[in-house]
Amino acid sequence: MAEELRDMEDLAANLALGTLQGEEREAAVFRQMTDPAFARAVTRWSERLTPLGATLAPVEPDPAVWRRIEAAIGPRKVVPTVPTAPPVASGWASGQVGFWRWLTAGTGLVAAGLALFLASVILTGAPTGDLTGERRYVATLSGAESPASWMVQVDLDRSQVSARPLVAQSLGEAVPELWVIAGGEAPRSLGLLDAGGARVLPLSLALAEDELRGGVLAISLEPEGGSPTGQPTGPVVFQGALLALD
Amino acid sequence: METLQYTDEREDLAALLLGTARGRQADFAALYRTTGPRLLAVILRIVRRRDLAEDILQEVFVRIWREAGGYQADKGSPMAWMTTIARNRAIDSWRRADRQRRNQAAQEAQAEIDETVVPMNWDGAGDEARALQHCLGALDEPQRNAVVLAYVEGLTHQELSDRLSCPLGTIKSWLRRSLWRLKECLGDG
Repeated sequence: MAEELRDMEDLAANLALGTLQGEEREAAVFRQMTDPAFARAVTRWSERLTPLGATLAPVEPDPAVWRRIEAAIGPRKVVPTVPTAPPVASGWASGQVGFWRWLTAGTGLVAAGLALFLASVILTGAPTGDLTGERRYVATLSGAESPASWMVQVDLDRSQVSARPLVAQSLGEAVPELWVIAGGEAPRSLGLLDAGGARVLPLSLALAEDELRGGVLAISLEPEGGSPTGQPTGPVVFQGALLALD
Repeated sequence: METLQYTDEREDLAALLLGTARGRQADFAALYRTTGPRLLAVILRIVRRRDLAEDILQEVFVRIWREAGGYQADKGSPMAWMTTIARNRAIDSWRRADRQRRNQAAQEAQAEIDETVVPMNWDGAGDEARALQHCLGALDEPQRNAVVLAYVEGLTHQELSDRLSCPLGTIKSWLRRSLWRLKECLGDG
């Protein structure tokens, strides 16, 4: 039995490594399709060895590659939008209402099942421990033109917000400031971010879970030291809906 | 473009895969910008030709776009899942290529690539990479080279035997012992 297990591991490792060829490889691929234990062993080996690929210097693809990919996946899919803007508190920058309507359109698309899926990926896939009962929210923030550029987590239990840029960004002198728009209130600042790396901020606002459900995070570009007015003064460049991880 | 790496990259990439599965092109584009250059490096090392490698990268991302909805944690980390798609595609393509083309590509690449030693740069690697680095370091150098060359260049047992000037049986038993020791050292079942 131990010998069989060892043979299986050896075959799985060699399939993951890529050393098998011809009939031997085909037989192993077929076993991967029919034998769950073997398939799991191959997956584990792929995972163990994947960091080897990260030792190679990244090679920037020619821009034409992305254009060909876009052409191959067909026309842009329509992102479902929510036609109504959330209530906006009176008394603040009424001239910006149209802007915030744009900002919040399209962010109500996330269903509870989607958040569940994400949570299950994280629960089973990452060594983050038992999340049951934790009150965490995540958002990927993207711009009108730019792809998802920030990943932000709001952790009510730890009273902290962690934000990581997903891509390198050149913002010039401007400082990115993170805002939460939730509960029908005007934007509230969560703090200043670092375009060059991850940052964890203490959460000083009292945010209710009800507020965060359906809430939106946004990043505006502000002068050094942050917005002088307590409201976004520069352009809002990224935004994204909060997903509950429960 | 510079890419940033984090130890909890797994969650970031899973979120982008989820967005991709939901048809959000912005998330798919972010996934490409984050992982495309790394996957191209992996593919290029196997097929050794830039134009072919970029064709394969294109196929790989079209496949990721279509299959993102089928990704689950039991398929490994997002990076492992995508890397496996890329490597399998590159290896299949390389082995299908006719011998003449392969020889030509190998000659062209020879000036740039040392045939027996793989340069390793673990800077910016995460915890999992550091564990692998540590465990590879515990292997004897010829055995380590066999594992690394096999993975990075996608070589078969026979090609490893030719490259390292060792009998086929020796290569197989080296790999068998090395992989078993790696598994024990990584201690992850």
